[in-house]
Amino acid sequence: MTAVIEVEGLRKEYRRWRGTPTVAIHGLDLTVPEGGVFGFLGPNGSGKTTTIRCLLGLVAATAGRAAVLGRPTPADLPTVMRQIGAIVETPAMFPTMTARENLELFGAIDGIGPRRVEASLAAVGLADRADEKVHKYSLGMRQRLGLAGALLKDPALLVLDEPVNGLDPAGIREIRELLRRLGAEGRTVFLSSHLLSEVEQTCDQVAIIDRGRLLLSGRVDDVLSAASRPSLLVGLDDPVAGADALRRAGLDVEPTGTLLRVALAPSQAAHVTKLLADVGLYVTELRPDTVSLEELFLDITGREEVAA
Amino acid sequence: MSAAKRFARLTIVEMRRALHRRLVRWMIVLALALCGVMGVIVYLTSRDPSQLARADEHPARMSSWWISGGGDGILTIAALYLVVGAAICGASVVGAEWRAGTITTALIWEPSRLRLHAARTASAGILAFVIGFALEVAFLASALPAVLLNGSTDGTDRAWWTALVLAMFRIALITALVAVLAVSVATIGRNTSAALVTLAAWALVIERLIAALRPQLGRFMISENVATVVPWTQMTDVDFERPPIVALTALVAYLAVVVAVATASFAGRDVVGT
Ligand SMILES: Nc1ncnc2c1ncn2[C@@H]1O[C@H](COP(=O)(O)OP(=O)(O)OP(=O)(O)O)[C@@H](O)[C@H]1O
Ligand SMILES: [Mg+2]
Repeated sequence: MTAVIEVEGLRKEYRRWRGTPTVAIHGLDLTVPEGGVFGFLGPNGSGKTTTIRCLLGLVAATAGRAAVLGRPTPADLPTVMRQIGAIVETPAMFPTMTARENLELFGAIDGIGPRRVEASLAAVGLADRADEKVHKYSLGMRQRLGLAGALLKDPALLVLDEPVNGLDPAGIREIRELLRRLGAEGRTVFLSSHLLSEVEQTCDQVAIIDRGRLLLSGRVDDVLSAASRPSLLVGLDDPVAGADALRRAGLDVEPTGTLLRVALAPSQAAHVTKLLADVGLYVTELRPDTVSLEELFLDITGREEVAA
Repeated sequence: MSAAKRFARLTIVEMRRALHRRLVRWMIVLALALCGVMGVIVYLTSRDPSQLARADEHPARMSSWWISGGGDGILTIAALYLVVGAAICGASVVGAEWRAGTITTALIWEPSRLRLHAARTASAGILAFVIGFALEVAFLASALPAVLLNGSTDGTDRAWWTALVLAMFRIALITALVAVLAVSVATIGRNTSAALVTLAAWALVIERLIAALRPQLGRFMISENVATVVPWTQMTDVDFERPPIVALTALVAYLAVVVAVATASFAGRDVVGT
């Protein structure tokens, strides 16, 4: 599988007139494979937007190399941009034009006609509001319009900075399905987010960054299973007695809320129920413990905080 | 797609965008409205033949539209409006883009900053020239009823018409140069008002000051050179030689420097949205 985005040792300092420069990215390495949806996750100020700006040639990297669609960026960007659709932060369009006029105007640069404009507007659910002026649009509608603009080129690669920012729950679900469909068609969707649950539900691959450094990257399932210790959650009417009984049997037990976390593979559930039944305790709840990306994210970015 | 074709497309897109700006539209509407008002005034003031005869210059007498050699004639009024309008519109087209953050969107469609900026500069020049010329025609046409009903076309021979059309071309050309200058200055400062204040301060304060303190530097002033190019006559009341072609060359050279600085500053700038 070829890499659609490759970043090596990327560093970006924002210079100011006075004072020390802000280091937004500290030697970031990143590889985004072709096809599917790639989540680029990080807390506020971690450098997601800055990375995207570097990839799109909006800002000049201080050091490091980056390539998009196999060509070095920003040097070869003019040759590959035709295949890249992007939104960066809140996408801005000309406020006194309608949505349709905006898309037709930008599309004209690449010779894209009204039929594709129509299809893009329909894809993001703006078809019936397309003739309103953009300054009357809500935040969510602007976001959708930005997405329509990104789709207009029928791109092989979509680079989307927080695409569901400002959308309502129904809109989020709708866009999530759209992005999944685009990924399944063989396009690459690179999306940044701090909405972890969305990334978990939308993405095939994920990279987590904090303070301009990569913390973790890989398939969502792999990242989750690597991070989760195999354990069982057990519910009991008398958790204290249950914990004693399990500990006497040599198991590692840790109370979490009203449940007990038992360090045992989920396939060993029968062993736990038997041990408890033997001392007259009956299980009210029993399930494998899964780690959500959210917990993992808080866990690893929190650890960084302590280490720093 | 060939580079030339893409550049042409970009230039057209930039023109469409500029023409969509309310300020640009309002400046055109205002100009046309003023033409209408002027037409009425010219008509009313030319109804009395004795008064018309007493006036030195009156638009109802066609020959006073443009007085060859002297750089005079009522056409210069239009020139003033066009120069100010070109500065305001040129600066606002660029300033608005930085303010609204649409520059990011534009760069996502055309990542080559050189090409984008060149297209923008070209579009400003072309539009200003065409609009400028059209408004000059409208301006003069508004006096036409008065000419035909009350005034005269005496002295408008072939040579006069040639001189008039050439003067209109030169004024449209100056309008285009000013628009390009405004675009460039606004690109450097990324702000409409800052650009306009800079241009106004330069033309109205700094050049005046230099001219007052060091009159011999007058030949290098933008305003003096414009005042030489429009009438296409040798600068008078000064003790140096400056044929109009030299004045025009100087203006173009100044502009080239500003355009180069603007292009370099845009090419090397981080675009971080609003
Ligand atoms: N234009 C700028 N000038 C100076 N510093 C900046 C600029 N833009 C961003 N930064 C700094 O760079 C760092 C990374 O910012 P960036 O916008 O890339 O983060 P982000 O991950 O996109 O955050 P968010 O989730 O809030 O969008 C932050 O510390 C920020 O303060
Ligand atoms: Mg961001």
